[in-house]
Amino acid sequence: METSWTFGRCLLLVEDDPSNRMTLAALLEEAGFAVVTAGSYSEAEKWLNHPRPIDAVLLDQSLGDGFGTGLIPLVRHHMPGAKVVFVTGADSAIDMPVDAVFRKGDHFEALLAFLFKLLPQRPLGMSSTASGPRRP
Amino acid sequence: MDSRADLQARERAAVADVVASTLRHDLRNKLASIRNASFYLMRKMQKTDAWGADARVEAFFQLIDRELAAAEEVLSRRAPVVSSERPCCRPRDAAEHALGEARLDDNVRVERDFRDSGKVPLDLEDLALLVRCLVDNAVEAMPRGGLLTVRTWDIEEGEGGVAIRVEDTGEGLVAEAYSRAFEPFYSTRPGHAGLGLNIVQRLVLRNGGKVALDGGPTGGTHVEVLFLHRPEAGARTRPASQEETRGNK
Repeated sequence: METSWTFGRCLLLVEDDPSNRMTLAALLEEAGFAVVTAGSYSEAEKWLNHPRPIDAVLLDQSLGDGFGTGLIPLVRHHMPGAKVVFVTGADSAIDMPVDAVFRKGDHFEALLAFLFKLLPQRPLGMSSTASGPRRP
Repeated sequence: MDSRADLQARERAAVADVVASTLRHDLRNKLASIRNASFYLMRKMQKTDAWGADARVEAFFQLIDRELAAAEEVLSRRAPVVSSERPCCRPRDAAEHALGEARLDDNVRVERDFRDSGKVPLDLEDLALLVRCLVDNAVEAMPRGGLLTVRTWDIEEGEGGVAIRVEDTGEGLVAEAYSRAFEPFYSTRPGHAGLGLNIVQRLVLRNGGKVALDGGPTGGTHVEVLFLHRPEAGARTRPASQEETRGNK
């Protein structure tokens, strides 16, 4: 990326499909984000109950052991400043209190444009996050 | 087509809808992975000599992207809406219809508590199917018998609306089931397809309603469906700050 707005920005990607999780995390890291991932509802719950500075949470709906919508109150409670982007492969997005809805199958650049809009540019050197260990 | 056959036809259509939708979801997941992987590889290839040396490299990445977008378009197609008339019916009529069609064991007592006068934006057969799914679940939750209660009432708060609640006095659900009960093909009972509550959820959400599952105060399971009146017919409420993207490639 030529721009530096993603510097220090940390995203939590909650996605149970391993291929989707791997490819989306790779693209987001390539775009300059620090990305931590959770592959299930319970794994995401652990992250959210031990909060760390996360700028945005990308939430899949069907997580095998629960629904992404169930995690929204936890995000709002533990990470009140974090944006929530709902990433869905369903036919229709359910109305819910999230900041954005991204449909799987839409182009990654559309998601990137979204994150640009949701996360205001932060000057270099003002990072609030450190890139954490990537979880499988 | 008589009423019973019509309800059965709608049940089959609803099951087909769940299956098709689940397949679309799964296929969309796979296409998204391929598209993301292809985009990642393209970005990497752009930094190599091969990108400029062979025009087909770029052309083939564009081809992959184009074909995936076309496949996504096919998945998103919908059948045309046949009628523009807005259906509506009274929950008490649908509940009565559903109870008439349900397989009720002798050891299950049925209590009707119908207090609604408002209407919901579904036709009678669809709402009857919704109630029927809830009634069937309730009956199956009480293999040794019990009390099945179907309640309907008007909601006075806010914009108003109508509510339906189906209660049983069975053993209730295990904790995991509360978070997964609306998933298609999820069932805690052997031999069950696990589609009933997913059909209910689809019918409710498609018509701007809400559905909640809870344990009763003295055991059993309660499912409550709310259809709230909306200021604009057909409008979907959404927080002003929420946005929705559609791909432009």
